[in-house]
Amino acid sequence: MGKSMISNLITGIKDVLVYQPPDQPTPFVLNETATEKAEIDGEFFPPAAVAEGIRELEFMINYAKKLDAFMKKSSKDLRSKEKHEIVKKIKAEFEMIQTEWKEIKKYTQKNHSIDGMYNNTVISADISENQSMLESIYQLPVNKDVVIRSITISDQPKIKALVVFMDGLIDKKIINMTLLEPLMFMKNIQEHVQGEDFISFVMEECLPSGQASRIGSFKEVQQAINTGDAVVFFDGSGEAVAVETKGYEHRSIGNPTTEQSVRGSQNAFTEVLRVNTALIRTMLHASDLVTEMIPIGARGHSNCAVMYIKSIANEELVEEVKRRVNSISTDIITDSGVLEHFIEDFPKNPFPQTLSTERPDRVAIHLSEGRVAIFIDGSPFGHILPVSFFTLMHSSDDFSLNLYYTNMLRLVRWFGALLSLLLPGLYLAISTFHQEAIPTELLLSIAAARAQVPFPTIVEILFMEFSFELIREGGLRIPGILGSTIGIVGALILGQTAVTAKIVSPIMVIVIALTGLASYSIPDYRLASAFRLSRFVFVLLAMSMGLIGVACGFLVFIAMLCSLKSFGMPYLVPLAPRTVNGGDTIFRSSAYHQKRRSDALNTKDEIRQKDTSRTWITDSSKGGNDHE
Amino acid sequence: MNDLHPGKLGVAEGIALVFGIVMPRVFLSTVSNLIQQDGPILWLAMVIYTIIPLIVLYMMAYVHKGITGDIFMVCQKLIGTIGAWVILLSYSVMFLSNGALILRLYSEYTLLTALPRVEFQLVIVWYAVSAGIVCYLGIEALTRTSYIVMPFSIAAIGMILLLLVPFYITYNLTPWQGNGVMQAVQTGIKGAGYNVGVLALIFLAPAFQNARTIKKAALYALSYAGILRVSFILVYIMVFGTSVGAEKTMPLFELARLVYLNQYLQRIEALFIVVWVIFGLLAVAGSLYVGLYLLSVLLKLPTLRPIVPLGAILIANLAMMPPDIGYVLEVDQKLITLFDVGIYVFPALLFILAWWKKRRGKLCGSASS
Repeated sequence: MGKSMISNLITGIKDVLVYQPPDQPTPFVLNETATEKAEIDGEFFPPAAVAEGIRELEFMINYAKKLDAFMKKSSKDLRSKEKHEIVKKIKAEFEMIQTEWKEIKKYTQKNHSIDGMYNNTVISADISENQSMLESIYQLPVNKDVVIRSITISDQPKIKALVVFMDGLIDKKIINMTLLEPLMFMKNIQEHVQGEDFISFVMEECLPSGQASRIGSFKEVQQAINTGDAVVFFDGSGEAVAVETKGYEHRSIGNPTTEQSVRGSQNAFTEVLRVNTALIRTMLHASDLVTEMIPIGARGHSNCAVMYIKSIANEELVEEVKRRVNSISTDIITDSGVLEHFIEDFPKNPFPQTLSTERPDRVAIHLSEGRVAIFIDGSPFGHILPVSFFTLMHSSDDFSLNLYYTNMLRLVRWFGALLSLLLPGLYLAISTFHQEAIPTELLLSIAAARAQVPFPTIVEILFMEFSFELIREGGLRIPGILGSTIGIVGALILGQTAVTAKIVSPIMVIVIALTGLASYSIPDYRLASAFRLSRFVFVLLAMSMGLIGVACGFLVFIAMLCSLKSFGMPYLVPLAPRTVNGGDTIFRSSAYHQKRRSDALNTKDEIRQKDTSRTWITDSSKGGNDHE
Repeated sequence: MNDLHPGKLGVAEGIALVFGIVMPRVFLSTVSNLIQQDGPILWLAMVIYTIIPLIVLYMMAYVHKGITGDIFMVCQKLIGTIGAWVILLSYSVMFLSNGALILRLYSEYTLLTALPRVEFQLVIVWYAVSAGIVCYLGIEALTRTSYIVMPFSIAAIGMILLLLVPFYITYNLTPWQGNGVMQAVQTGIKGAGYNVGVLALIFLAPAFQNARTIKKAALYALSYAGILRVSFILVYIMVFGTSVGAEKTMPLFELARLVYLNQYLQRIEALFIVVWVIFGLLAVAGSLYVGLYLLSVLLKLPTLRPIVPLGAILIANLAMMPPDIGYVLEVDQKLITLFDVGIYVFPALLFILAWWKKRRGKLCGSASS
């Protein structure tokens, strides 16, 4: 029955008067899932993987029970009844069980792909099974990165092979020239087609690659493929061959950007781990320089390189570093800063407990001191450990310049660090609580400058500090060369206008500018950040109790530094506790006077050089006499 | 090695610990009172009360020598469990009350010199929290901090003493006998209790490398403290004389006030506050740590960290109890008797018992052979 005119009219009026939402599809909303506890015995497991793992085990147990029952029943039947009928029945049942097993296998493959872990799965002799496993792991054919190339090698007999690699991570020329070509042109290998011998034959006689290794599990297969190697599977063999075919794009070696040097080396690390380790090798030609690779991350599978000189570094230290790196249980680490948080003694303390550097020459020097270096794939920074507070105050140029000039620079740095830490706090304390300590003329000048400022000193300081941090952060984020320009212009304009507007006094601009400048004299960026953070605490302490607050804060600050340790080594060594220093603490001695390595590192070989490291002084020269 | 005995402390740490605990009193009114008693010969009293604690420490080192374990085990073997409890509890009370007293005196002087408008309870809480944090960070942090800042503090005091050269009046040191040599000797013997802090080395012996380290640390610490005290007293008497000097309540502050180099460097006493605050805080933290350590040993606690906040609250409350500064000074005078028990009675008792046991052991040994 059609609607009446009145009801149509009412509907029409209603449509005009009442707001109707536009006819749109329902917007996508990402549903929140209930968080589940995913930690078992301190190890990381994705929750889905745990649940599926349990289900998988249940399947397996049920299957095992069925198999057991089938075996018992078959054995009983075979003993008692007519053989022919029984064999037929058993055959049918066995086929059913086999089908079930295939289903379970398929299911477990599907489940494994949830967390990407196939740690216990071994390579099958059946190549089609391996292919289906690979398709399951890499989500093929949806995933377009992984290429599975199916080939047939040899004529007598014909052997099926699979070449698997990650497109973009490999060098296609290497794949074609050193893998596909030799394999496809391989002829008559009848006498070698038996188990391990065949793999050995292929590796020794067919693959002209620099690096080829035999692998047996899908964990190794994944590690190889994910890092740019190609893996070759052969039908009938329970092993595969991983061939080095890396050839991905990366940034070339550039100049250091955060640790610039006037006279030192101009090389800096890149994002490629192997390039970084090679850069150190170019500086340090020691045969016992060891590079150990430790994979980190259940999903990321990043490689972490631990480097040390075997004959110098303390074994306990090396073992401890490896233990900490090995024990990391997370899904992915791609940055050296994140790695640091996982392994340092006091991750909540803002003071850096490793020396983060982008300079191979620095790493080489510290390795020769007996320290350990660690690198992670994808990060252009390496960590040197253990380090003391004093090491962080050294710069890469220190040994390139004249002894006295370097020591003067170091003095300036220490003075800068103190200013960076205490200057605003001291100014606030003295100008607010202890005016009597200021010479009369200066006091009058400060008072005159502050006369028209409507805020207390603490507000001035916080305003200026906040502005300074804002300019610093903004300058970093603005792209390209504009960043520094805007930073300078911003600082100038902001400072000038703040003084003109009488929001802050001119002396406050001087104090904050001096403090900011002083903080840049600290060579280590993270140490400078820690000082910056501590500065705010000192400002608050000064605001509360004047010089008493600053003194108490300073004492607690030093006590905190004394209690810190970097991989078991006291942070203020060789000052606290007092140990034999290598002639390079606050000031440095001449390179030829630094005869011993740092005592705190407890190295295997303490002596760096002989007492007479400049033998030419004692040897007679062949030149003429000056007095002739 | 456990949390109570974290590492192997060396001579420098030992010196810093003892120096930090025994030194700060020289900056307080104690010196003025003693000058009133002894006159210009006070330096002799200072020498005596530096030597006596050193002898006592060597006696205690002898006691500790033949018996392994911490101080409780040593006392337990010599005098029994109840005796050990009495002795260690007394020492704990001594250190905690010393900490509380120094806390109160420094707070009072802070009000007088630096922050006249602040409530004294606030200052006490401030100092107690700071000392508690240092103490919480452990003996390594405490002693190492102490020996990092001590040289600068001592250099600052030395500088003040040198800058006052124009004010030196050597005649003020006469008559050199003061109020009598015997009087000075008596003061020295009676005041030795103020150096009870040296026994901290014996109590914390397991944290140090060996007995030689402890003896060396005690020798150096008391020698440095003695030299500084004697120099300070001589300069103080030369500058103010005995009669005026006896009236000053804050000797070091008064000395610093006199320094005037030129119009750009005047009134350095305000900046000097930083130095004596550091001295005071280290003394409070050191006393608090030793007092709590003894309690931890008695109660067999695996670590003293959880009781540090309680200890800090305890000494802060103790420090707030006296109604005025006059009463505090009175308590200070009385407390010396308790400290004297700690420096004379207990060590002597333990020494005699140890000597007797060793002698008896020898006699038994020779009789059996």
